[in-house]
Amino acid sequence: MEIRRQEAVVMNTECVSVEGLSVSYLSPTGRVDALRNVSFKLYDGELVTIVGPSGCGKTTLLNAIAGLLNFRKDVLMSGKIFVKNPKSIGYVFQRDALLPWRTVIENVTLGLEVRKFPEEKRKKVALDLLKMVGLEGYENKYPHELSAGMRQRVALARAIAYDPEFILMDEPLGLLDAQTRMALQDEILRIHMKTRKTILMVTHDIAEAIILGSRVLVMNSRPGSVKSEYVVKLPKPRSALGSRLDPEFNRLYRLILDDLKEDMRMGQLDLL
Amino acid sequence: MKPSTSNWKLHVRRLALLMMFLLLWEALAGGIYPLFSLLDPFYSSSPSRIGRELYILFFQENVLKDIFVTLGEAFAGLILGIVSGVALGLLFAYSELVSSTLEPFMSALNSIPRPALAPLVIFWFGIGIFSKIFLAWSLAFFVIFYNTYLGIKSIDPDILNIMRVMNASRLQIMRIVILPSVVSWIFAGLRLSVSYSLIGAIIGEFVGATVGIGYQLIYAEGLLMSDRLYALVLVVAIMGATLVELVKRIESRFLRWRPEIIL
Repeated sequence: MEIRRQEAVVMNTECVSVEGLSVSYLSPTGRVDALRNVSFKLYDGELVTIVGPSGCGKTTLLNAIAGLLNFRKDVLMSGKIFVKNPKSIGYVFQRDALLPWRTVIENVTLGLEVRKFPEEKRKKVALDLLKMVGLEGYENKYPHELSAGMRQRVALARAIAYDPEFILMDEPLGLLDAQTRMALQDEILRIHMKTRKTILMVTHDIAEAIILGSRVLVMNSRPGSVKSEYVVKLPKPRSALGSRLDPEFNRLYRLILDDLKEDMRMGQLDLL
Repeated sequence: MKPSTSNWKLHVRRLALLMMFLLLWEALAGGIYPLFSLLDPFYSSSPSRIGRELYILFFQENVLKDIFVTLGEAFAGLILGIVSGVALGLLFAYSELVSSTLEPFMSALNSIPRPALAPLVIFWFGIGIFSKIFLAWSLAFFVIFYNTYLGIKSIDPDILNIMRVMNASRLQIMRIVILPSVVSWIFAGLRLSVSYSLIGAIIGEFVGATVGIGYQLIYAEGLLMSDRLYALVLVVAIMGATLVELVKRIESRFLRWRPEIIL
């Protein structure tokens, strides 16, 4: 196993690179291969999406990049992962993973608190961000008082608050209803335009992958590997609705759907 | 729906029902018109007899002392149960070695019916307060222990992951995630453990004591003082209800962040 996590290289616009990554989980009943020979690169300021069927190891891939698998004894890894600044990563999960006993603002400031920023500074950053994600006035509410969509906005604000260079998103809109999902797709596009963060987002919704990504990586499953890559040439600034009406959208949708058909025939694609 | 305090009609209805019940009881026991009595007051007692007995207990025999002794024993057992339960719960959650080795022993110990243990505990600690504290502890401890252990185990793994991605230290994870969730789980178990510690103390007093509500109950039984038994049961019921209400108040102050659970 060789994992390279080095500090910033001057003038290198590569933010993340994954080379020949294979990951297996060891369990008493045997070995499960989650990823096999995955390779791709992310450049600074890019928003790249990964689309693939459930069980194709998307979450494993993100966790490996985030360094969350490094200390696990039941995980076997080979290949190389390079992250320009491994100490500066944000993560948004499918379930918001907010701390239920903390108010909205206390959740948003979590990363700054861990980094020991002074209280006033934390508060100021959080209030600005809450304004940006449209949650002004909700700072003292508790997570259970918010809707699922609002909670996910808080999770987005939390991931940006400590200004990480690179943000991982694991199906962040997967549990939302269609309208809320479109609103938050616009939100993510807007945040990306404004902050120019490098974002790697996993989804199983083909439309979402095309609308958000400047590139779409298509994965297939068991074990997961990158099957193909598409550059999305939709005009900018994009919007969730506008992009859907573009012919390019339909062309890509077709191509990606064809890529995923094998898995679909095997009954592993849960698009609905 | 939760009844609001301004809902006076509901309160009137409840009060009326209670009054009817007490009146019927009094009448059936012959307290209103002696010829009309279907129940033998030696067994059934009656509200007026219980009232008289309560007066005697509180103003002539100083039952308050017994109440405070029993409450003190229960409270001491509860505090010890919380401290030791949290400590061992944390140890179990953090050490796979400890939890996998000791788990069957813990459930075996917890499955001992405490009344069966009481004579032995009196044998160990004597008939003073310590045997009662031990019994109260032996009940409260397991509730708090299991709540702490399973509470930590059930922390959303994504919350721990987000902390790790933010490069939080072990100490920060402990302070920001583990301890607050332990507190909420302790409160979840507190209502149960408060009642349990009261039960533990009273069981101890049944088996051997010179003071306490449990002792008073056994004493009254021995002298066939049925009215006093009724009065003491009422006292114990009020003690239990007061404690649970108190815990609810504390709970709602500490767990403001939780969606209200209406039971």
